[in-house]
Formats: sequence, C-alpha cells, structure tokens
Amino acid sequence: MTRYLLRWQWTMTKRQLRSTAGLLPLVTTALLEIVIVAMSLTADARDFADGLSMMTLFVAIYALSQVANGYIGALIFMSSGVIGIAPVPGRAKAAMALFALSFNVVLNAVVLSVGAGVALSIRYTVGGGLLAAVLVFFSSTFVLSGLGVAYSTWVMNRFPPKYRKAAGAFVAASVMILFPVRIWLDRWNPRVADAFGYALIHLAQQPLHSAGQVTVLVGAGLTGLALAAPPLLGASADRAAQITDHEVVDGRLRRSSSAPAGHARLLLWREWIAWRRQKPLWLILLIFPLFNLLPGPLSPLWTLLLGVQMGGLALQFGPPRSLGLILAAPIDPVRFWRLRMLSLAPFVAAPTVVMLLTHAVIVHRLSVVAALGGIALAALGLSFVSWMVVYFGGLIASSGGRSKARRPGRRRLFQYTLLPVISVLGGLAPIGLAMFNTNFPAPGLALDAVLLAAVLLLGPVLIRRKSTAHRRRASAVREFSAGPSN
Amino acid sequence: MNWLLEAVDLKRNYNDVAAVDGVTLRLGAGELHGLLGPNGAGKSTTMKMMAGLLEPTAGRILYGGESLADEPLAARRMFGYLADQPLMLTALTGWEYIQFVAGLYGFSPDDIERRASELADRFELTAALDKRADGYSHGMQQKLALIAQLVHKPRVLLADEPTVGLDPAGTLEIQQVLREYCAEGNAVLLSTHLLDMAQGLCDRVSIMARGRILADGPPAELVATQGQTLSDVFLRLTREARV
Repeated sequence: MTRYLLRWQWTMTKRQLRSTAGLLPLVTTALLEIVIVAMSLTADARDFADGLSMMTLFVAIYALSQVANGYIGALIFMSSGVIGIAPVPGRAKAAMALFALSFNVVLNAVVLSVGAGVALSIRYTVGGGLLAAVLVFFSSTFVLSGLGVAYSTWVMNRFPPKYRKAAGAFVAASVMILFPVRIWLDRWNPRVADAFGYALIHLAQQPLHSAGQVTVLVGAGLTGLALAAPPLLGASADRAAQITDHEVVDGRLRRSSSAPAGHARLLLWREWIAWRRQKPLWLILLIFPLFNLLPGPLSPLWTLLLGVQMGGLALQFGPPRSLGLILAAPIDPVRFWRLRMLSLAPFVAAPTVVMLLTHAVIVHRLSVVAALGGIALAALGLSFVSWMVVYFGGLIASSGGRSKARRPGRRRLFQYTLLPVISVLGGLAPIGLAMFNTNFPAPGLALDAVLLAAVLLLGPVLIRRKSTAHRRRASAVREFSAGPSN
Repeated sequence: MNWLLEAVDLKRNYNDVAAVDGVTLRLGAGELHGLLGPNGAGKSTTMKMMAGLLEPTAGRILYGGESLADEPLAARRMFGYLADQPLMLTALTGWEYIQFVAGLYGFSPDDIERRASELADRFELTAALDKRADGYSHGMQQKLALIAQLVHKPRVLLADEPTVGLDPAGTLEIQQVLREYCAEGNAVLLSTHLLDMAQGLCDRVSIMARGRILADGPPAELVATQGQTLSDVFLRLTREARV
C-alpha cells in the first residue's frame, strides 16, 4: 500500500512541479544563488560571511516553515477526505505525506548548496567549495526536515482538532521569530551572528583540515535522523490514522454595515470589512515596521515590496472562482483598475507612513528625499503590480482562455522558459531599484516619479488597446461566422 | 421579434476539441428556457460565454440588441449570472454581500432593501443575513447568490443548476420565484439535470449533447412528437448522440 500511495504522490508531485506555484520556490532559491555568487565576486570577507549567514538563515527559515506547513497540510489531506476514509494503514499515509514535502525541500537544498559551493569555489578553493556544498545540503535538508516534522507533530498534537488546519500558519509564523533573533544577535555580537558564514569560509579555505570534521558532522546528522525517524514516523502514522475535522464555521451574528453609493467607496468599504475580519492580514502589516530593526539605513525595498504585495490583491475578493462576480459586472476595466488602486492605497499608505515615522523618530535620521522615495516606491509597486494583475488577470475578455486553449505549445514554452526568467528579473528589478534609491536618493526619487507617471499614463492606454483589440477580433469572428452576404 | 437574449452560432474550442459547437438560442420577454444535457454536454461553457466569462471561439451574443463583445457594459447591465457553485466573497455578511453585488450594478442599499428583504423572507434566510456568508451551507449560499442576482433587476437571468444542494422547500421556492420573475417580462435561461422540473416549469427547452443542440421547443411539443415523457426524449436523443 505504501508503494501504491507513493506512486500516486509522485504523479501529483510531478504535475505540481510543472505548475507556476510549484516552480516559484525553485526560482526564488535560484535568485538567492545568483545573489550569493555575485556577492562572492564583490564583497569583502566580513560582508561575505554576513551574506552567507543571512542567506543560509533565510533558506533555513523558509525550508523549516515550508516543511512544517507542508507536512501539516499533507497530514490533514491524508487524514480527511477520500484518503482519510479509506482503509489504509497510518504508516503508509505518513510516508506519502513525508514524500510530498521532502521532494521540494531536497530540490531547494540542491540549488542552495550548489550556489554556496560555486560562490566559495570562485573565491577560495574548488575542493573547499565542494565540501561546503555538501555541508549546506545536509544541514538544510535533513536537519531542517527532521526539525520541521518534529515541531509540526508537536504543534499538531496540541491544537484542538477543528483548528488543526491553522497549525501550519502558526508554525510558519512562529519560525519567523528567528529573523529578529538574528538581528539582535548581529547587534550584540556580529562575529557570533555570522559564525556559520565564517565556518563555511574557513572550510573553503582549508578543506583538507576540515574534511574530517565535516564527515563527523554529516555522520552525526544522519545518525540522529536515523534514530529520530522511526518514532517520528510512528507519531505521524498515529496522527494520519485519525480523521481530521477541520471545518471552521464562523456563525457569529454581526452588525452588517450599509454599503456606500459609488464604485470607489463601495470597493473601499468591502476592503475595509475584509481587513477588519481577517486577523492574519493585520499581522503582515504589524510585522512590516519591524524591518526598522535591521541594521543600517532604512531600505526603500520594504516599502516597494509592500506596494507589490498589495497590488497583487487587485483581483482578490475571495476564492478564485468568486472573481466571476466582478468579471460579469458592468465596470470599465480602466475605471476598475483606478478604483482598485484607490481602495488598496490606504493599506499601503498607513504602514509606509508608520514605518517611515518610526524610523525617523526612533531608529535613524531620515531625510525628506529618502522618505519621499520610500513613498514613491510603495506607490509604484502598487500601481504597476495592480495594473499587471488587471491586464493579465482576465478582467479584459481577450485574456480569456481562447489564445491559451489554442496554443498549448506556446503556453508550455512560456511556463518553462519565459516565466522563470521573468520571475528572476521581476525579483531583481525591485532590488536594483531600491539599491539605486539608497545610493542616489535624489536621482532615485526622480526615476521613481518618472516610472510612476509612465505606469499611470500608459496603463490605461494599454488596457484600452487590449479591450479594443478584443472587440475588433469579436467583430471579425462575427463576420466570419455570418459568411458571405449577398 | 425583440429578443432579450440572442446567442447565435456560438462555438468554443478547448485544444481543438469543440466543447460548444454552433449553439443558437433566442429568449424573448417572459420566457423561461431550460437548457438540458448530460454531464460534459457544454451547458456550463455556453452559460459562461453568455456571462462574458469565456470568450467564444466564434458566434455572437446580444442582450436586448446590445452586443456583449462590442458594448460590454451596456450588455452586462442586462443580465445576472448564477453560477453552478455560488460565487462568494470573503468576510462579508449575507446582507453586505447583497449590497456589494447591487452596488457593482449601481444600486444603493435603499434601492434594493425592500426586494432583498422580501426574497430573504421567502428563502428563510433573514435570520442568517447578519452572519458571514462564507460560513453558510451550500444551499444557503445558493439562495443568497440568487437574491443578489435578482435585486439588481437584470432583464435576463442565467441560472446554472440553481437547485443543486437545495432542500425540497428551497427548490420549490426557487421555481416559484423564477416563474414570477418571468411573469414580470424578464427571461431566464435555466440549466438543469432535473427533467421533471424542466418539463413542469419551462416554456421551452433545448436538449444539448456534445456541444450541439439536438432538439428545441416547448416540452409538451417535444413529448408529443418524440416520446412519452421528456426523460424518454432526453435519453433517446443523448444516447443517439453518443453513438
């Protein structure tokens, strides 16, 4: 039965990896790899050690939350629905859950270890880089997977059944606490904070001396994993064997508020209600000003990323299919885009202002130009990404499935080649723009203003052009359907 | 005749497979038109094209003479769309959901309150209107979605299997509401698998299979010319289409 389930899991994993959502984590890790390699060519030893430690910590946190969250999700999947009710031993279900998450984690670890290994090989010795890559691979895969599974199992056993679905989010959020710990450590003693980076550098500089230590470390890790695996699998099997009741229904009576007149106020009204009733959204905004704690001057990257995140919500009103409600309504796409930007703007503006004020008052002196740059980048992120979402997201009928349905080959080409490249460039562009703003505040602000104006002026033109092209094509289709008229 | 809904020679391909292949439907004022067909016949695809959610590969759709492709805003004001799965929004209560949908069509709460309350009473939903709608049962969500689509006064209602998941009382109430709605001079295109309901409720029915319309006409006429009951006609035609 275990082999049977694993075979199906393998089929599902393959299909998931072929999807955008499956590819994106890999692209993100590849992006980090590029940063590490670039850093190896430019940074000094202290910055390089700092960068390596930060990157490893980032991936560790990412992997840990991914493992824990994914494992909980997989366990819930195995213990509910069609697999939950099937007469399948808990051990087979647990094996399926472990396989589901390990594959992606291993792939990420391979990309990271290769990145770190290449960077260290370029800067120090090839043998040293190779050894460091092995260490990074084992530490990021096996130790973190073990920790992730153990932690999630512990949390799952303590959550009441109906809230188990939320256990994944709790685990992922709780792991984030490592970020402020690292920041505090960096202020207290940078040498300790960057210890892992220095260890890797030491390893790369003197591979022959360290080879024995690495072998012992990897051996100890593997032995620990081998010892921990059977009881963990047993605990997971017990959990997977229980049916999970994860239905959470909010049946509270509320005071329904009255909708205002006009599309602009209506969208803002809905947005405010959604934010008020969804507590996790506030968590994101509360975490945001914490970036002030990062050492050095405030990076405008954070405000840009906030704008990008909020812009991504332009077509989010509920489950994906609920979008049909908006698409069928009589609203002009350009008007919708503008109104949607307006309704999301307060949720970008408030945290941006709070962040800039706290930075200026408490943490660091902040120039007016730098503050304006932060605001401009937030506005740019919001306007550009919301435009992208409206333009490509199906609001204009011509972006419907017709072209995709007719050209599966081109869709695949886009998915496998262009999409990763665009994602990498899309990830690098904000970093580049933020760096330019940090280093050249006044020209940076001017550039931000030009880009923002370009989006606001060209965006409507392009949306209208797409709508018109759709109408023209519809007319052509109609004439073709009608046939020759006599 | 001035048709409220006119869909002519609609086609939709998915990877060279024709999901809808030359469907023509015309609905006049007061008409309740049933769209019948087995699973995969192309009913929902046809409905989605009519709602502007899918672009037709060919053909044209007009609401009261306004082309959905050329005059999308004018055409969209004319119809309401009730999807096979209710299109819910996160975090809103039932009453807020109704107001939000009405607001999208330019109606204020005052404009819709009386009609919405009346419909909520009929569907026994009044007590739940101040609870979050994303926590409703499927049947309650379906009733709520119907109310929201009726209060903005569309001339045509596209209802894709509206009675799925409803209790018997809810099913009967929906039939009654749709009948009254048509009596006010509007039109309904109703996709359903319930043949008895279609026979008793619809003025005309179209039987679809493999993306094509196999038969079209008043149920009594189809029964008189082609079989003993609408089920007989349906099963014979769809079986022949499979061969």
